[in-house]
Amino acid sequence: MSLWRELISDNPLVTDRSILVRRLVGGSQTGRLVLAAVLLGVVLLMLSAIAGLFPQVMTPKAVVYIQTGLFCFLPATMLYGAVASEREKRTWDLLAVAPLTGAQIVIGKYLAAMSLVFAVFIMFLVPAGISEAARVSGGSLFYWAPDAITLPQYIGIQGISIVFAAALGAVSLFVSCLFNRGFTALLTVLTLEAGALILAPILIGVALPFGVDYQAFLSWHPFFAIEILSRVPERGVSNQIADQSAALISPAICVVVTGVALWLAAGSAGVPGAPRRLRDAGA
Amino acid sequence: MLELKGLTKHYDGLVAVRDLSLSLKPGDIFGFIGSNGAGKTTTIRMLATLLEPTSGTASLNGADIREDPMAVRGMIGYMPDFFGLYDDIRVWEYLDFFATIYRIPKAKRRETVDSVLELTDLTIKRNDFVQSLSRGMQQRLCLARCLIHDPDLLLLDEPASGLDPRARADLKELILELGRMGKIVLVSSHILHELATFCSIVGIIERGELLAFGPVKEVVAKVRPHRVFVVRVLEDAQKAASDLTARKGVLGVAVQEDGAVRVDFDGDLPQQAELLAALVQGGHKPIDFREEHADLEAAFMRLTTGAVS
Repeated sequence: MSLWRELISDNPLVTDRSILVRRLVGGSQTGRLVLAAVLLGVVLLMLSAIAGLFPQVMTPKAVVYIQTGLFCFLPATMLYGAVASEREKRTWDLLAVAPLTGAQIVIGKYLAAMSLVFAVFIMFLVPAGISEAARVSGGSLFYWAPDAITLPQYIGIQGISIVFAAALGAVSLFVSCLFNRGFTALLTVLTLEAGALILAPILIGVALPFGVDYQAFLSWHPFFAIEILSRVPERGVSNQIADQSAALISPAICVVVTGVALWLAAGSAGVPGAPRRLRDAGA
Repeated sequence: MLELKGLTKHYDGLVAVRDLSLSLKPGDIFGFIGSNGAGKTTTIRMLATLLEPTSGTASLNGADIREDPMAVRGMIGYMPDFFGLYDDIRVWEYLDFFATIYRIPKAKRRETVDSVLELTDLTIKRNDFVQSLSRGMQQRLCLARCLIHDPDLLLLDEPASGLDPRARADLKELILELGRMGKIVLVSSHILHELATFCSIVGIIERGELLAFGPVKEVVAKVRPHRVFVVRVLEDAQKAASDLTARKGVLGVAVQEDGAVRVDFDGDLPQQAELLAALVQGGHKPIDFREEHADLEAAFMRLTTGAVS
């Protein structure tokens, strides 16, 4: 069986939409999900309203920043318990005795969570679109858009944002495979995240000599990568190319991190060829 | 057909299960008996493909647990010694989820869920939340989950633990029904007198070693091949004991602390009748003369020492 077939096309946790649909709209999970959806709806409505009235403030770039900020938490909170909480509730064994490989289970969980992240990603296009429409139509009360970005730039920064979410989800899943307690896994993920996104930039900033381009050393950081890629075109063609190249570092790192973390997570649950059974370390 | 061949499991030098070999056929209800730490759960987890044996193997209907665990998983229903239920989920959702991961076609799923609910007498609880069920019902729901894909082998680890007498009686009936359906049921339990009433075969394990295996009567007979009578007389028990010592079929006589006379006996029915007649003729005024039936608990106590691996 090919890896694609094992993990995707022959994986009931991926191919059976009823599991996902039930999580989204049906069954007993409705209460929590409706609450989350209402909160998200309120946030999006507020953003859309601000974007319509003040497009110079709530620019598409600002919307992407907010979305990326949400992505710092959303994949982690959805996946920290994917395996750790199953172990904590002692339900992991029930899945493990089903005719599924451990890799099918963890990849199924990852894709289910990522599909929800992707749904949120799509929703955030609304306020960004309203902002851009208000700016273009000039209908805003305070038309002023020094921060306007081109469509390719917008697509680029959205790419950075979603790839970052995918990487964080994969890391959360891998961390979840290492622990027996969901809360411990969540703390570990948040600590790693704070270390990478907050502490590391501070340390780099402190370590760099005065006058050195600070941002150039932080192009791996998703927020800095968004900033670099969305710099206004007036900086010149050569600078644009340099910016685009630098900004690619972040999604490239995220893609590698996603691959490695998923490989380790799948391996920890017994995928052939992957590192041997980290599962037992936490079992 | 379930066959275990030299199944062995070591943990860091500790032998949890040692060279376990046995064979069970469809319809067998196998009672797996042992103290805590004897190796029951380890054996069950190896059969459930959750643990890899150190050596030896087992096969179910020809599928080897080491060579083809996926095929084995499709044929087993595993109920661990804990419930393993999800929060905030309804009874039908719980079963439907497992029906999905056991690849039961969508068109058949509702029918399958309804049939296992009926079998486990939970139809009325279909839309209830799992956490609102009583312990006995949760246990039945776990069993329903095990049955969702119609497995050939059921591995039930301490299924009666913590259940009230009625729930235990219901569970016993259900297990008997599963045996009648032709499933192999492997059930571990500490409640030996109950096991004896519904298991067709038992195995006693200690320190990972199978000490006895076979039908309940045979296992008990192995431990005590003769019969035992307990006799009470109105007066001198010592004299009654000495009068019985020389009778035919009597292997040994002893006066117990409570004043009863214990007679180990391997004679036939006429000799048994003569025993009672001798007491009366000797003027002993017997007030009680009964056979002490050996049971599984006695056999277990006799065979095991209480040691763990």
